[in-house]
Amino acid sequence: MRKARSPFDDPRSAWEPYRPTPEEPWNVARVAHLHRRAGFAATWGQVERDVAEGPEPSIRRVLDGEARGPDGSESSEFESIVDTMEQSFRRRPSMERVSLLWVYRLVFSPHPLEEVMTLAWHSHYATSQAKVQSPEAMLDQNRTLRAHWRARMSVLHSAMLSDAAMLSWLDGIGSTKAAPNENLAREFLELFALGAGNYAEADVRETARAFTGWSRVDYSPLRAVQEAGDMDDGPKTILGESGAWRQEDVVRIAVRRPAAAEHIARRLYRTFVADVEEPSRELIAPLADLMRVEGDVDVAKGIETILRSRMFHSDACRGRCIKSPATLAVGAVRVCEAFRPPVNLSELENHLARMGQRLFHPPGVAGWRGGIGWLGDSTVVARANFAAWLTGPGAGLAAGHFRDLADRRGWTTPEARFEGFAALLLATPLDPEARARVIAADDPAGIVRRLLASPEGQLG
Amino acid sequence: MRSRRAFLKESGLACAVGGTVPSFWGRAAAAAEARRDGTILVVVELTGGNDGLNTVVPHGDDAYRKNRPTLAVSPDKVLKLDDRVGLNDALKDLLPSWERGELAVVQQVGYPDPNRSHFESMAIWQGGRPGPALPTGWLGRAADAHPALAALHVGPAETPLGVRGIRAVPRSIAGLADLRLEPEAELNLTMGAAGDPALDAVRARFRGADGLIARLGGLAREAKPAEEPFETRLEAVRRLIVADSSARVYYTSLDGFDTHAAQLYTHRNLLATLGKGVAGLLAGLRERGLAERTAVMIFSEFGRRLKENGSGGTDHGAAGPVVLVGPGVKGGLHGPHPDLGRLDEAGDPLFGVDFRDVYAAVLRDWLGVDPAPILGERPATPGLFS
Repeated sequence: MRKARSPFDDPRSAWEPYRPTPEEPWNVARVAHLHRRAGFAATWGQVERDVAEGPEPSIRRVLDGEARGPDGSESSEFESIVDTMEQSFRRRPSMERVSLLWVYRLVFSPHPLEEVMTLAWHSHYATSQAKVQSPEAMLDQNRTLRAHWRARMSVLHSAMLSDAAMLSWLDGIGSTKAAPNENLAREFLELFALGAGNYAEADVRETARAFTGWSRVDYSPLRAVQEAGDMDDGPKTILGESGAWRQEDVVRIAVRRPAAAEHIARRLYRTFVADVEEPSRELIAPLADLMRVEGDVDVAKGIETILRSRMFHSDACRGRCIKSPATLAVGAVRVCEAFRPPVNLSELENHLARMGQRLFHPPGVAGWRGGIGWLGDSTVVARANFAAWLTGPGAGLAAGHFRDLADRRGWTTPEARFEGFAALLLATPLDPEARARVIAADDPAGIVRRLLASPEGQLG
Repeated sequence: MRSRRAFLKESGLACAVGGTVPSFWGRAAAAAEARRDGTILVVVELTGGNDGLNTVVPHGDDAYRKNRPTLAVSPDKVLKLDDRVGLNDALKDLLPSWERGELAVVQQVGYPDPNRSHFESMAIWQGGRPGPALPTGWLGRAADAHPALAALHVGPAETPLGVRGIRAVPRSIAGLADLRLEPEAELNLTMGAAGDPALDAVRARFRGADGLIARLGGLAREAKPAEEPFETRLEAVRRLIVADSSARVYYTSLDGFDTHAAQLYTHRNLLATLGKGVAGLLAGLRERGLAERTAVMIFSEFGRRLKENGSGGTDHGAAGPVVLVGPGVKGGLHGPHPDLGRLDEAGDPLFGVDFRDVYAAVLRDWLGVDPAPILGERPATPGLFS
């Protein structure tokens, strides 16, 4: 089905920078795609601006953040609101408030790429409150992941291996020289750093020894420290290298393995390029090569390479991801500018949970599978119910919100309303009969509802 | 807003499948065919540590009555399975299954060096290995290796470890209410194939959800979103099996078994709920000719202490009975009777059958898959299925 010259079939040129051509112009479809993948979609105003300004300033803004949030408020104002919420949380911690804080960021952040990556790392270093049972530790982990969203992998790994929530989740706490627990060591090698098949059982045992010594020093908030007495600092052989390795040495040894960059390149590929199929080794190898920097894995380089690539901006790239619940729901909120009064954020979070992405509660150590796995019987129903909620009276928006929005844009006929919302929400053209049904809804709220509840609406 | 059905009918799409049938369609049909022949396992977890000695009662043993002055079930009430043990009479709804030879009791199921923490012992039972917690459950690993064994969890809690795998993501619903389309909600279905594998896969999932809702009839619409009691959850399982939800493993739980105090009536009520629910599930499936394909497995994370405590309750114990029910189950007593004369240092009877051996039998003899990659090499308990 794909054209022979699709970058997916041309690993050598796939990661070269995109330049607009008459065949591949910088247009609404490309800008909307950029924002759907590297953020949570864009408002019509953002799309118009980016089309006019061209790729360089647009991509730069995606990478480094906007001066204003999608609601038009200054980024300093956003930061100060978040700060106030966090301070209030510290006085009265609860899991509801941790989740609400994140949902607030998802909706209002002037730097949505940061949130996309924080979500990706939340699935990569999947840690669940169900076992950790500490709202403070979950918030701290979330802040750490955000702070290092484009750091080198050695920084991220080290931060996570010393993270109280992670140490509780994978039984690092209580792992001693006398009785090392292999749980954290195994998942570090398999899920975080290298991937299955790139280490041996002996590496798990030896890594577990290097990760010993952590104990809990406080329950509320949860705090853990590594004590020299319980830590095994004897000689070990890990991934072929021998020495009296400690935790930070294991990280250093792991990130310079050839598999390390490839493992993370695959994570970035699933996040930004396609998650409906596994990429070939040939396609990943050049990207991984670019990410190998000074014996480490350079995440920022990987993200930037992808977001500038011919691959990313090709027609073939569109529709190759299944929108996660957050991508679908937050994207719809941003496209529909449901900011004043804001959409009911705690209900929005409940909808994410019903669609299968309960924040801070990944389904297991391997995080959310993503791709077509998002769509089961009950989660498909939940997506349709979300669409009905957002466009109905329960979402807390002003009466006539959708009509006013469409009118402001000059979308006054059913066709114009369809085209306007579809350009922002859909990655692929809608099936003609489904399209007719959407247009038949006539009023803007109904059009958005049917767009969101169509199969095409699930593709990113 | 028009109903979803009317909507479809109007647009003339209800029966219009694209001219050329794409290959995935044929594969999906074949998979559906295979499903109809596949066996189904319904796992019922008794959460909190079920008092096994008051479930399968050692009525013939003096030590039982001596240690349970207020809690012992009197011998004239016990539903005798043989001259030494019998079912608590609160389980009377399961007696017909025993009489038909469709109920197996595996006695004293446990593991060496028993862990008496709820969380840790539950993680051991669900993970399928004693010792430190595994990241995946035994049924999750089964589904990783055999995608047809995908599990569906029905219950209010987190998806249990038991059904979680690395690749296999179990579906989880609190109840049928999770399959309820809100009045204003609709699925904008497309019947044909676009030729794009991703879009066609999404369309297939949409049609699948729509079909399941239709097969469930009004039940999902009427279901309440509140936490549903055990009977309603088993009724949801029954409806999902009848509607062919494509799951072959169902997992649900009955909570409240942590009976440290005044347990007599609490525990009897729980057992009555269990018996009524399981008997009702199988009776409902029998009407539809589906009972033969279904086996129910009942387990708990541990049993309870032989000696009752000073509060009319029992404390955390070790091994306990696993009960299997269904027409495909070979009825009878398996494993050694609990030897109340030989207790461990905590005061619990010793385990006689390793829980992994029961799992191995379920995997090999009921679900038809090799248990070794899932549980390690274990001798499957013989004779549990006919």
